[in-house]
Amino acid sequence: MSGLIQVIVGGLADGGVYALIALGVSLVYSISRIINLAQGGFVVLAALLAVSIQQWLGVPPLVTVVIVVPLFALLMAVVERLVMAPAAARATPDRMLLVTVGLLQAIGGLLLLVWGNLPYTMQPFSGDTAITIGGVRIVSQYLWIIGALVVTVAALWFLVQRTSLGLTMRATASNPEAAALQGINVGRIRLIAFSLAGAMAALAGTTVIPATFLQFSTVTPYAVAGFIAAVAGGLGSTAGAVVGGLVLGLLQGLFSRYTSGDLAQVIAMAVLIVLLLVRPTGLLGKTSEVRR
Amino acid sequence: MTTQEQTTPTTAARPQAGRGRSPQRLVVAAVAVVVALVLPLLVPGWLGLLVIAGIFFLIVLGLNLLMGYAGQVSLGQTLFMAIGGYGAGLLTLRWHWPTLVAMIVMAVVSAAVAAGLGTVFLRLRGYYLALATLGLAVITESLASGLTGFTGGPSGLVGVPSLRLGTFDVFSDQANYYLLLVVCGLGAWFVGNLQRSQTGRALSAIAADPAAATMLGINAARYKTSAFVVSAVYASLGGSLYAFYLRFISPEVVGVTVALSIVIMLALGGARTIVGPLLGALVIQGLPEVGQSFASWSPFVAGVVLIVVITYLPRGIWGAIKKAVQR
Repeated sequence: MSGLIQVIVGGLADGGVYALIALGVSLVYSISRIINLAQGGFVVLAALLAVSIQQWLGVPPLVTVVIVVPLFALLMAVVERLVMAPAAARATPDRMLLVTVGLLQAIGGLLLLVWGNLPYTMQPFSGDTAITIGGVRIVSQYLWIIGALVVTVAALWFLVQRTSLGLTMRATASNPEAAALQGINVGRIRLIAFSLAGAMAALAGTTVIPATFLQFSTVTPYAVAGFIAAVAGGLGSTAGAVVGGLVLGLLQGLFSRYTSGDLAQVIAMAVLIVLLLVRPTGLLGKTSEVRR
Repeated sequence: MTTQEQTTPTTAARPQAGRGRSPQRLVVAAVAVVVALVLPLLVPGWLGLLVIAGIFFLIVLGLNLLMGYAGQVSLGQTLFMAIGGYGAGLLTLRWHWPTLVAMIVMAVVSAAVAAGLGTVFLRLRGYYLALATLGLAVITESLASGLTGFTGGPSGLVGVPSLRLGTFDVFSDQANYYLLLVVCGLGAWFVGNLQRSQTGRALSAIAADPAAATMLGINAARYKTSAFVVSAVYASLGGSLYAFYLRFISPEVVGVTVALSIVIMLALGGARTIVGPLLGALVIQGLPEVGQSFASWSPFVAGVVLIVVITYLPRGIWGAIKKAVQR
């Protein structure tokens, strides 16, 4: 029994990372209607950058979060201006997916160039301590991951529901044309959305790297997991992204206990594809335009 | 993918059909055939690359039908590559089937799988279809490395025999090159004809406006599923030929990265043409061959090139060349 709970805890930690990626995908989608498949790539980039910063400066691992998160908020704003905005002005939304595929490929290539093909990891934020509750051992880094998710969701909720910037974001999300006519600078709102997504990617990357090994080739699994969690949860829905991410992590964790890791991936994907076919708007989505 | 031309399908197809019979075009085609025939003598060191590019050209041609003409994104073509590659490999290696029979049987199996999946999947639109097919790509890679007893796991299936045509073993690079020349030629001929036919116009209509196409009496679901089936057969044949040529197939060959790069080849070269997929396959497969030190740069460069092409050349490299020539 405690073994099963152990698996659930691990699955939820993985799911927390997926949820953070899906939140970024979902936020950007709701504002710009762009599915940013590269979001998972930025997570790995942030993680490896954190490892290098930690080694160069010799700072504690936790400090890298404070450095990398603002850096990625800025980086993603630059990416929006240099890559996304020019492409979105010319390409249809469907073709934008290919632009982000290209971006994902470029990030993977950059990682290969700078960090080579070796896997990297980092010291946990609060050392190798673990908490044992009823025979279940919880690695302290898992708590940091879940904590990062909780803080992100709370901050996002506060921003969107309780501030005037959030109000303009909601207006832009529901109808960009009408929002622009109301005097809202839609371009600026998009820049902010991408910037926030960049911060989320950095948060996911820096909190997960102490708990796992990452390398250039892990960009695709993270991109896929984030994309699937966002769509399965219902694109544009914050709660959906969180639920989608956690469910995906949990499914993978549970199935890998009873089958091999590869087959667990298969069953998790199959469940999500069936879910998509049976409930095409995702778990918590409201989109009505899923099927022809 | 939505069409780049938002004109009605009939006006889009007509000038194409007219140009197809012009003597100018015949001369260009004849020159291309001659160049293709003597190429092995000119660049013998590049034959391996050309064979691999040829295999991917075949796969991208099939995707072109589905994505270019019918406007449906599939990120999961590797599923059919895997069925063709692993299927033909296992049938010939373990059960000693004749290679050609194994290849054809697996193409039929792929068609059946595509017909089944197509009727269910192609009801999803846009991003959601892309997601579902991406799920297929993930499943394919995981199954290839997970079903160890069957597929040889991560180390792959080793010792697949070469393709045998009658008493002739298609073993050398040169033999494989000429085989692919014939197969790709037939594949391109079929897609080219289809593009100019009633079916091609129906597919374009579905891509441009599915609702309007349905009102014209076009059975969108049937056409989309047919395009999916044909693209699956192309990918399956490509997968089989890959396994027979390298005498090996591994999860890496049918990985998610490959699934994405097939779509990249089509978008890069230019959809809705025959030359576009060829250019895309040559560029993406050729990039790592430019130089030893460049090999590690090639994934990065491919990504950047794709971004630039999609942003500034909506019809791909070939579309841009054609536009420049016509001007």
